Amino acid sequence: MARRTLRPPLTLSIIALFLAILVSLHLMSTATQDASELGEMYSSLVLTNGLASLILLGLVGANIYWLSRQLKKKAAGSNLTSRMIFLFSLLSLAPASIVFYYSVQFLDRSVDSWFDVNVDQAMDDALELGQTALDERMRNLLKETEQIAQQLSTSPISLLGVRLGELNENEDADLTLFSRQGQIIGFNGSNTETMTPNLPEIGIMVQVRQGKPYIGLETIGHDGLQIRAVVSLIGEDAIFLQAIYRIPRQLAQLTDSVQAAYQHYKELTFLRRSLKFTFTLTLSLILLLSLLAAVWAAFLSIRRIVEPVRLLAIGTRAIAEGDYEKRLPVKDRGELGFLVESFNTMTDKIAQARDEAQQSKWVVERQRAYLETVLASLSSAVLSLDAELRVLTANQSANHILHADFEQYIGWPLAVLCGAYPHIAELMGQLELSIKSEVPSWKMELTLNSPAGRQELFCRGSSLYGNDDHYEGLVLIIDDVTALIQAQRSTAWSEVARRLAHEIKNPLTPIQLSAERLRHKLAKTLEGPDLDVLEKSTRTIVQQVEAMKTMVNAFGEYAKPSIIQLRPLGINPLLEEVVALYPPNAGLHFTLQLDPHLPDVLGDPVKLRQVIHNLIKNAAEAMPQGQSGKMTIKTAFGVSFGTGNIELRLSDDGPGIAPDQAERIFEPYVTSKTKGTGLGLAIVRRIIEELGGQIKLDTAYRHGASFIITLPLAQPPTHMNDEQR
Amino acid sequence: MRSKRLILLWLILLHGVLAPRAWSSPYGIFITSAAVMDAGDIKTLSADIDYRFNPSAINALEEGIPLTLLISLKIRDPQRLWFQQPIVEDQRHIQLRYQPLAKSFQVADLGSGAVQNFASLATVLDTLSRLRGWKFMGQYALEKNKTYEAMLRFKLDIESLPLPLRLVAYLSPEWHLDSEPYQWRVEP
Repeated sequence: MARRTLRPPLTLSIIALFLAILVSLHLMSTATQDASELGEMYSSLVLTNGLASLILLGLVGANIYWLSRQLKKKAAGSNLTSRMIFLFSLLSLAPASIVFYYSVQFLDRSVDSWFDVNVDQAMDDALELGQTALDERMRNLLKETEQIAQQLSTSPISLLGVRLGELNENEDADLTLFSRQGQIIGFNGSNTETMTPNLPEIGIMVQVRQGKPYIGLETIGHDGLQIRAVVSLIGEDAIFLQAIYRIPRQLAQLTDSVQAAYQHYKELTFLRRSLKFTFTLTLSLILLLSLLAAVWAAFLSIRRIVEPVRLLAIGTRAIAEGDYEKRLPVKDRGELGFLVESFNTMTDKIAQARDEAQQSKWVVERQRAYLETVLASLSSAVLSLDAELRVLTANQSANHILHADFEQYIGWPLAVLCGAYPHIAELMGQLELSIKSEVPSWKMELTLNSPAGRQELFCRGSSLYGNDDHYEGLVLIIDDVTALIQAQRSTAWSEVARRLAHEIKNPLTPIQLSAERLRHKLAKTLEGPDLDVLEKSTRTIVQQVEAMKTMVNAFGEYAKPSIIQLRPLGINPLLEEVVALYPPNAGLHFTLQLDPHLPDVLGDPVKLRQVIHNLIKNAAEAMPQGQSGKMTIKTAFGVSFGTGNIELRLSDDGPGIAPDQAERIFEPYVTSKTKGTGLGLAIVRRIIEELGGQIKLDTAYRHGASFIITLPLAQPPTHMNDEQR
Repeated sequence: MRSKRLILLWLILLHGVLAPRAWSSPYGIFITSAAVMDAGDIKTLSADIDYRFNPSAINALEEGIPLTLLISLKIRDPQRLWFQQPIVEDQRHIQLRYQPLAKSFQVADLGSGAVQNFASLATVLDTLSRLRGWKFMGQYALEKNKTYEAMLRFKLDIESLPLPLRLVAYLSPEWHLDSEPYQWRVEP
């Protein structure tokens, strides 16, 4: 603002400049007129205007240079400025040039029209007439002077002065006698204005000395004329006579007037070309100065006019580059100023809208992150499908529960996923009707044979609807309830075992005691076949009670909560230790495939030994009578769902387990064998679960039975090398 | 680099316009000698001058254009600084004009008004080439037994020419008839 107040307004400067130029040009124009008093100033005016033109030329040149730099840089508004300047210059140059051309033409013709051949001739004639009139008079006067000289030449030198007075009776001439050295010998005349007679100049004297008399016309004062005649006295070479005759006033005035007119005309004729040149130069200077001033003023004002446009271009560029904070200064209150103000308002609005959009985007992102976190931490598998059954989202648990890598198939149709994973195809086959029904929500329990074994799944489906209640797909929520159902079953069995122990074991002892007492009392009284019957019956009762006791004890064992002492231990030495207890004739041949680099597991060695014994025993008992079998024990490092564990696999080549039993093989009293309590595998599973591990039957194994036990590591692995993976 | 060359070009052009004497010209006024004479109580200036008018100037004179010669004399004390006023500063304006009726030339001293008539230009120039007995003004300020520096200049006064001829004369080098300043020592 301070800078603005220091500078005078543009329009005022331009008006001042034009006034200065106008005054200077007017002065110059007035000076060109002959009669003007400013004539003396003409040269300095031309110089001033020429310098002003040079300065303006410099200014215009600097502006053109600036504009060309701007154009080269492709600066905003430079194109518009150059076009406007070009147009303006053209518009001002065209009429000015036309006026200039015709003015020069007119000037040329006007100056030429002053001169005429007739006038020229008349002037010459007038002068000649005057000269002729005077020549006649001069010839007579010369003759008269020569006569006087002749008369004087007969007189002695001493009487010359007197004789001179006698001869000049009429006193119409000033007669002077003078020697070669300029010494005056005698004078007679009426002219007393000068004390000393006016002697002829040296050129005349040279002529007279050569014997040629001189007669000449001379101007005196402004309009006076006199005739000077100089002759030498005959015989007296050293003495000269000068006679000055006055021309009558009227004649003098007339001839002088003719001479003045002739002189003026001659001067004009001589100056004809110079005059044209001067006028043309003045005119050119006026044109040049006005044009340069106009162009310079055009530069100044157009730059000012274009300024808002330039600012707008800069602002628009800034916005295009994403700078919404750009504010343009409003210098003008006119239409362009309004445009700049509107631009600022628009930028404000855009910045505001951008902030709001960013805010809402941030909120959406946050909600999305929240949802993703919730979904990721959910234990249920969550799958969303669109109306065309393309996979939209799937959480981590979906991968875990359904044993598939859903992330690879996001955006792909479900059919592709089913092609890659047969068990998912089986699942979707079961869900097909519900999915296609498009009902708002449904639920279903189903069993799936996945690579991890048999899975009990609980599926729920919810349809998704758009704004206009248009069906857009569905969300599938799948829970793996296998463990839950198994836990429910084992809890039920534990309860049964506890009840059995309590309800059955208690009456067994009195039954056994009563039977023994019966035999003891009656054995003495009975004999023969009755005694045999008694013996047989009581023995049977006691044997069966013993059997029931064993069974109930086993149940008790199963139902009893065990005491477990966990500690880190190496699984490989433990296996070798257990296997060593079975001699080659025990009916089983062992093949150990043990990974030597396994870390320790967390477990109770006693319980683990019991598990391995149970499984080996189970395999041995499953073998057909009298046949020996093979058992392969394999340990490996396994990874499941991000945590490392030890995988222990025990496979035999026995008859295997029937598919219909596979599901319930770990439940009590599920057995394919004739011997045993049917609790072996149930106990194994309970121990493994108590140790924090898992056991499952590998249903895919076709050469016999194969159990897979996974056991947790003593320490979570901090680094796993590629080999371990 | 380009702007420097441009400035140089401008300077050359400007010098050409402002100093036409730079062009060599055979015409001009040449002072061959000058001296301050003691004539009793007063001092007079005498000088010999060679006039070589260009044909245009002579033509102009014959066509009725008066030519004015400006004779300026400056006598300064060398002990004074250069920007101080000279002790003597006098000027004479001598006008040459042609009289077509009498077919003669006139020499007029515009200061005193004295007029002399001559039958030919040659006698005019012959007379003018001997400047004698100029009783210049301010001579009483000169002190005896002191040395001064005198400077005499002759020039054709272009500003006295008719207006249309002035620009032509300024722009044409042959019209620049100014003499070189003639300097000598004066001991009154």
